[in-house]
Amino acid sequence: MLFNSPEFLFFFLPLVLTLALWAKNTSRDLLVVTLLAFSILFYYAGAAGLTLVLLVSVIVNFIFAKGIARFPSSSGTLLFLGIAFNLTLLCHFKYATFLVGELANIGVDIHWSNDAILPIGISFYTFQQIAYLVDIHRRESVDTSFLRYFLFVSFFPQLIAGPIVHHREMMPQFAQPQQEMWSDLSAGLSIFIIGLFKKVAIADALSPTVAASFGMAENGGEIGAAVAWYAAMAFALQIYFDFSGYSDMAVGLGRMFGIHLPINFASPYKADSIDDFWRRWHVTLSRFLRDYLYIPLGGNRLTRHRRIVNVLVTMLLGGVWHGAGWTFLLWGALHGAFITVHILWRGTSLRVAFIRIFGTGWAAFARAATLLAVLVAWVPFRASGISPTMEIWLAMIGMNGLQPAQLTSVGIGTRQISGMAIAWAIALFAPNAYQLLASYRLGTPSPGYPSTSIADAPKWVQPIIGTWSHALILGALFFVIFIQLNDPSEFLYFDF
Amino acid sequence: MRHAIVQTLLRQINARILFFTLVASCLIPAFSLVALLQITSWVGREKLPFENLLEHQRAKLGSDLAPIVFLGDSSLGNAINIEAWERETGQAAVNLALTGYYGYDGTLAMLRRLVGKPVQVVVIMQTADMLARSRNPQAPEEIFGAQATFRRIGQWWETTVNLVQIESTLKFIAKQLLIGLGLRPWLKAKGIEFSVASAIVNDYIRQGSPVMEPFEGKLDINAINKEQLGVLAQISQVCSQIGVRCIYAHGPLASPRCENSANYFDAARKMIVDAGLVVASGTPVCISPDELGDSVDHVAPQQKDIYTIRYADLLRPMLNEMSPNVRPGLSP
Repeated sequence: MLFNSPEFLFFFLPLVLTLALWAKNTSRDLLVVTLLAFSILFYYAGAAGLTLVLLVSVIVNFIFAKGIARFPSSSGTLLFLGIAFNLTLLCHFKYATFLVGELANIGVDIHWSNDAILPIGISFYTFQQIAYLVDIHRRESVDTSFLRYFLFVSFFPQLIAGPIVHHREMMPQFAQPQQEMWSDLSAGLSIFIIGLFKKVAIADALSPTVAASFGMAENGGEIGAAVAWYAAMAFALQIYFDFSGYSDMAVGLGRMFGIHLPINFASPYKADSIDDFWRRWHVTLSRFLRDYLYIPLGGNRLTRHRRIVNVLVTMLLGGVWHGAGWTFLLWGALHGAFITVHILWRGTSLRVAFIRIFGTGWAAFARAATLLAVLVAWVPFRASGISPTMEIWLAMIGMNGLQPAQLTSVGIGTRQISGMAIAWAIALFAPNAYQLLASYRLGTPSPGYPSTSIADAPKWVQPIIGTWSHALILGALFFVIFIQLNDPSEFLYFDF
Repeated sequence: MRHAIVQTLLRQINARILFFTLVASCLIPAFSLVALLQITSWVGREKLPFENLLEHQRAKLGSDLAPIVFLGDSSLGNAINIEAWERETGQAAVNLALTGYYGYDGTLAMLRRLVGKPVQVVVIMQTADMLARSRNPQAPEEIFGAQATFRRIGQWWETTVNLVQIESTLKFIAKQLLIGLGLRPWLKAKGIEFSVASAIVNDYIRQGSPVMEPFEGKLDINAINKEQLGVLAQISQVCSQIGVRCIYAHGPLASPRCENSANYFDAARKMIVDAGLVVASGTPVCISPDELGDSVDHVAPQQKDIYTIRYADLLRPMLNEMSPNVRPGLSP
């Protein structure tokens, strides 16, 4: 079931909200049971038989967690087995077909066919559970209630596509939910509508021309710079509004039940360095990779060379986490390379000199350079293979000429270009949803990610929040969404 | 006055009132629109083309069916003319083509509706890239499953609340207002129809303007969707259960994309056979640019009989394997 489907909006959500609020006023345990039951129903409505994979994963991980807690002398072995179980499950569903295919390409034929369909959200719930096992092993987690654990993994607002939540920020909330019901409902519904608008009115509107322009390269056509740049720029917007829209909806839904979820996006295209970009884009994945991969590898504590190796390993695995394919590996490698360049650049005296010479202009240049790097890297992320990626990159540097006439053949006209320009203006200059609704303290900040610490709303928006016009403006946004709900499309991150 | 309105709009309200105002400002306009769409439909707003098609095809299901049934999407609806088929093959048939929206799930639902009918052969013809499309399991729910499920609600929503229906409603209201103002003669004189519906022509939805641009590129093997293959396997099972021979034929596709996609069709053939269906050799039939209709997989209306004969030639060897009573009551 999709958040942007009428059955979710007009049936599932009102039902679960009514029952959960009743349960919340009755007992905490009843709230947990209610949310858990509806979370399973929500997952079953979309994944059907694959719900069994989620159930097995939760039960097996919980048994490992109990074992690790109860038998300290064997906790290392149990942790290893637990992580191995999770990675095996993930590999079976996500990577096995790719690996077998690649081995066959180099002449190693394993007579094995895998018809498994990827269970939605498996990458997200697997990561959450690995983190839980590691923290039980580190004695950093004490709550081992099965129901709360199950709900922490399967809580429907974040089950399918994150944010990747940490048990420390979730399980205490299930034990002691917030009590400001009306404020939570208003705040949650407000950001939910903003997220829905980003998904339905912006990301979905970009989808057909993105598909057509990437399709042109994938079908072997020679594409010009105009279509290539449109493809990269429009996809950058599509994935941002799609995924950040989903995250806003997740945060909003959680808040409606009194549960605070972490901020996952903090205006990433305003980043002034690639390092900053990763502190704003998919924050909860970034902090997971930092805490459970980068830091255990040695993080910043070792030599600069070792740090660069750690960054590259982390980013490569981060790329592969998104999907089994060379394109995701390339995307991760590119980001690893960008961060490496940034580390090296930060260590030079040239940077200080440039800042002195160019003053405030330097900040604008840094933002533009970061954005350009991110745009270039989105191409393999979206393309179906390395060959179309190269085709688009070559076209972007003008190898095939501009060919503006091609734009019309993939359905790009003045309307699409001006729509994209507006969307870029929003992404680059407008305050994000958390800044607009800052007075509600929506979304929890993540330590080490300063952009997720929101202070105050912009002055021009403060007189509107909490007034009649607040409700009317969001009602108008909802009407725009409503008339476009007829074809609810999936969220891009459901595939990962 | 204006100042007072602004002051009211910017007055702080408590969280409880804000929540209910938010809900009301979302739901009241939205459900008013739904009511408007439904009421205008009840009082005579014209049906949209796909709604007319559904009624047209469902009416055929109510009568005795011929032993050969064609199921599929618009590539079928625009390519097979049953009169030409019967002239060419001497075999009675019926074309139950829906649209691509219903996909394989629509075909599966239609197949289930054939239980108990004297059908012997079902030819499944879907557009060439149907295997690569996302599954639409909710599509046939309202029409064929008729279960009160979330999916049925979603399907009703998709077909009822959309921009095309809204446009149709606005035109209907404008037309009624103008007629109410006594402007019917003026409307007639100006040739204004305000209708977005198009009639069923030659057993399918009337086509729009033909596509003039060539369709380059090729279909991508990697895009084939495993879920769709699962639906084909279900179709194959139902065919066995109800004792019907099912043949899969790719719908026609525009050149040169059709020829460029040979690898895709080779892979697709293997997968469809693995799913349990027989694939008609030589399909898809490629559409030359001058024979193309209003879409990449639509044959131009004037070419429909010719393509019917082409498909009949490809399917004939398989149909000849059938028992003689496939041709009841037909004199060639």
